[in-house]
This record gives sequence, C-alpha cells and structure tokens, in this order.
Amino acid sequence: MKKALLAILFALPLYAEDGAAILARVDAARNPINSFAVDVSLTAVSPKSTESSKFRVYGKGSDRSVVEFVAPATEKGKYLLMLRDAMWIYMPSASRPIRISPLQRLMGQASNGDVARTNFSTDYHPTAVESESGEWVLDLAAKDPSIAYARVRLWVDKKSSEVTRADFYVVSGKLIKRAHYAEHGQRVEIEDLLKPGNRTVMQYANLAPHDNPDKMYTKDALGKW
Amino acid sequence: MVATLILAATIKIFGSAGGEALFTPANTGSPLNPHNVAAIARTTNVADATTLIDATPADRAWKLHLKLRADSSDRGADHLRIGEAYLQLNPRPWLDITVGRIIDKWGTGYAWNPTGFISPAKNPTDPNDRRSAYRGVDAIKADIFVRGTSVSLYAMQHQTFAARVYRLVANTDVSLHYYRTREGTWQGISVARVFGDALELHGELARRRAVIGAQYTFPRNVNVVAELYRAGDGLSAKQWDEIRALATIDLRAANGAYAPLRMGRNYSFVRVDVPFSKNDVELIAITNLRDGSSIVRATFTRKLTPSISAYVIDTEFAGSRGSELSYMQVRRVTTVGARVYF
Repeated sequence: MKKALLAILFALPLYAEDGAAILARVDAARNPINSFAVDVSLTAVSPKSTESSKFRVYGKGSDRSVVEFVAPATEKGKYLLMLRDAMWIYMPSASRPIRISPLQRLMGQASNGDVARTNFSTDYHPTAVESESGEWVLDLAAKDPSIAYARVRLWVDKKSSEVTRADFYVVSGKLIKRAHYAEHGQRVEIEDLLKPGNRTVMQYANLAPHDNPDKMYTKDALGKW
Repeated sequence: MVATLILAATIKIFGSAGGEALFTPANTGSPLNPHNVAAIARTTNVADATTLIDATPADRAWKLHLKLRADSSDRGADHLRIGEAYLQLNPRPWLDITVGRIIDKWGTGYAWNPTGFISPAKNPTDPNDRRSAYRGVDAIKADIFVRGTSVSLYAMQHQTFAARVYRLVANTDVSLHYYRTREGTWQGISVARVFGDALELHGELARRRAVIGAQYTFPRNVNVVAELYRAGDGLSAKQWDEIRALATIDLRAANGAYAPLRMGRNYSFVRVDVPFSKNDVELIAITNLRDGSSIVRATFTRKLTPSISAYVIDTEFAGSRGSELSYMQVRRVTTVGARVYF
C-alpha cells in the first residue's frame, strides 16, 4: 500500500511534466529556428467562393512575429505585429498601427492569431495527457483569459512530436474550429465547425533563418523597416 | 535617385488608382445656400492614382520610401504631388534617422485624434482615407528603440519640434506627445488596451480636446466602433447663434466661418462594419450632441476581383431647423466609384 501511494505521489508530477515536455517538443518541432522568415499562403473555401492570399511571417523567439501581407493587391502594404497576445495592424491608408483583438480574422477561418502564432507553450499549459494509438492527446488551457481560444485539444505524433490535429474551443466550451496538420506541419487545414463546408488551407513554404532585428517587433517600427 | 533604386536589393511598388462620380444636390433650404448662391455643382467627377515605392538593401541599412499621387477633377486643376518622400537610415539597431516628407499618425482614436499634432488632418466621415490623399510633413526624425520603449523626435520647419514616447505598459499602449511651435506648446497622452479577445478601449487627451472610445468585434468579424469627442475649442451655443445671425446679413462671411463638425463641442461617432462574402457594408453616424443633428454615411463595397473594388457611398445630413448640420450647403453626397489595386 505504501509503495502504491509513493508511486502515485511520484507519478503525478511526472505526468504533469510529461505534458509540458511534450508541448515543448511540439513547439521545438514547429519552430526549429529562433529567428526566421516563412511564406504562408491561405486559401479560404466556402460553398460559394474561393479566396486566396499570401503572407510572409517574420518570427523571433517563442512569442514575437510580424506578418507582411503580400497578396492580393488590395492588402499589400499591410503588416500585423503580434507580441504574445497583443496585436496591432498597420495599414498604409491609416499610416499608423491600430490595436486589434486576436479574434479579428485575416481571411476565411484563419484568425490573426492562427497565422501569427508560432508557439503553443507561450499561451497554453497542458491540463491532461492521454495516449491514443501512436499519438499523445494533450488538453491545453489558456494561461490568460485574453487568449482567443480558452481550450485546445492537440493530437501529437509520439515519434516525431508533430501535431496532426487540433480542436479549438471558446470560453463557453463550444468547439468552433478543427485543424488538420499534414506534410510535417507545412499544410494546415482549418474547418469552421459553425459553418459546415467552410474551410481554410494554410500552406507554409521557404522556412529559413532570417536576421530579424528586435526593433521590428515594436509597434512604432511596424511598416517602417 | 533612379540609381539608388536600381542598387537596392528589394524594391516594392504598389498602390491604387480610382475614379469617382459625386452627386451633390444643393440644399437651398440651408440659410447658407439660398438659391444655391454657393454654386454647388450637381455632379463632379474625380480620378486619382497613388503609387508607393519602397527600396531597401539586403542589410536594411537604409530605406527609401515614396508616395506619389496624381489627382484629376472636372471641377478643378490637375495635381501631381509628393505625399511622402523620405530616406531612412539605420546606423544602429536601436536608432533610425529619417529625413524628408513623412506621414506619421499619432493617437489611438478612430474618428478624431486630439494628440495628432503632426498628423494629416483627418475627416471623421472618412477616417480610413479611402483615396489615400494624406500628405506628410517635412521633417528630420530620430526614432530610438530602447528596451520596449520608443522615442520619436522631430524637427520641422519654422522652429517646430515634436516628440513622442511610447511603451506597452501592463498590456496597455501608452504614448506621451509633445509639440512646440512659435505660437506655443501642446502636450497629450493616448492609451489603448484590448480586453479579452474582442474588446478594445482607447482614449486621448490633449489641451482642451479629448476622445474616448471602444471597438468590439462580434462573431463573423462584425466590427463596431463608438467614440465620444469633446473639443473645448469648438463653438459654444452662443457662438453658433452668432454664425446663424451672420448668415442673415453676410452670407459670404457666414459660409467662410461655417465648418461642419466644428460648430459644436461634443460629438458622438458610431461605425458598424459588416463584411459578408465579397461585400462589405459600413455605416457611420456622427452626431452633434448639443442639437442632435447628424451625418449618416452608408458605404457598400464589393470586391469584383482580388484587385478591383467598386463602391457606392451615400452621405445624408439630418437635423432640425437651426441645427449645425441643417446648414450644410448640400442635401446629400452620393458617390459611385471603383478602385484598382496593383
């Protein structure tokens, strides 16, 4: 009995640490480079139409990113800055960065946060870990109520630590989005579960190290560098 | 300059060109425009083209930025002007020096910016400058970035100086503003903060002027902005009555003194934006809180292709007899236009 209790006592923190360790490996697999640039194309498909847009994301560390709008022409010249959960958008017509909320959408089912966020550990902590046929299933809770999704369930390949699927829940507990990851995380398909038939495909390409100076990640330098 | 552009590793050229037809029936019921003495044209056609050019070498040691704008109207002379033209040097990772004509917009307000001392004049009914008409100020500017704080120092013509300090404090944007001319000095503060995932609150305070506002994003990206504006240097009820009296004796002087949205001290602003499919509907209402008169502007925009948009804008003026906006010289403004982006 004593041995069983000791085993449980030791196992509990180990189990909690496992979730954090798995999440750390997930983020390391998603962000192999500390300072990088990557091209992202978004295709939003609805029963009525298909729209495409292109972005270039400049990331640094776990919680800083700048998104440059490349296409379509109507969006050119816009920039989005994300510092952890704080976001600003710069539009050439407004000539100044405007504070926005993470829930505001870039296009289709992808919110600003979906494109700009490169890391899960910064915003979420694991609350439970399950094992499911070759995959870990992590239950993540937002560290801060200001995070766009209150809860995320993450399916992670045990061998590669790559995410294969993610379910996003809002504060009310409602599941609103499901993302499927393929091609080693280079392709993400986001389903809008509130509007069946609507989905957005995010395709990453040309990930490479890029020297991003710290001032890039300041509100005042947005659109000026 | 051409040689500089060719030497640059990255050159970005983008912009837009557009044409608009404006229908402006005269408001002959206005005491400022009996029998259309203001000679308001019933229709006006305008066209413009704006090109933005950015040139940057691979090491980003400098940046050249140009904003060129051409305007044409069947009611006035054609113009070609430089809206912005500056060379930015980056001698240190924490320092930028910018020389030339610069558009910088200060403040966090959507329709009004009391702290926008060096900003281009803003039209609250068109806060996003849809025709990209803003023009910068000629200045030498230093931007210093130190540990999350940015300091911007400006030296302009006619012994005019300005400074702004910005920092994100407890997830709140906080900026302090300073402006000095030969006529005097002005100080101001602006703040903005996001609460949760959809609500943004902002405010600005400068000498005799203040704005507070909120922005909320509903599901499906429906966006609402509401603001209250106080201009201590706007007209009091008595001063407005004097302009009304002037209109009965000197129409020319009264027309010269009348400036919409400056004849009162307290205004409200509401904007609702509803995007759906390839369309966008925007409603803006600005109300003089003293007399209740309002400007209501509805815009319908449709994206025809990824680079072409067409729009219809209807602006109506409503108010009881004697109110600020009942004095508008036009009954309404209806705008039909299209814009091509490249």
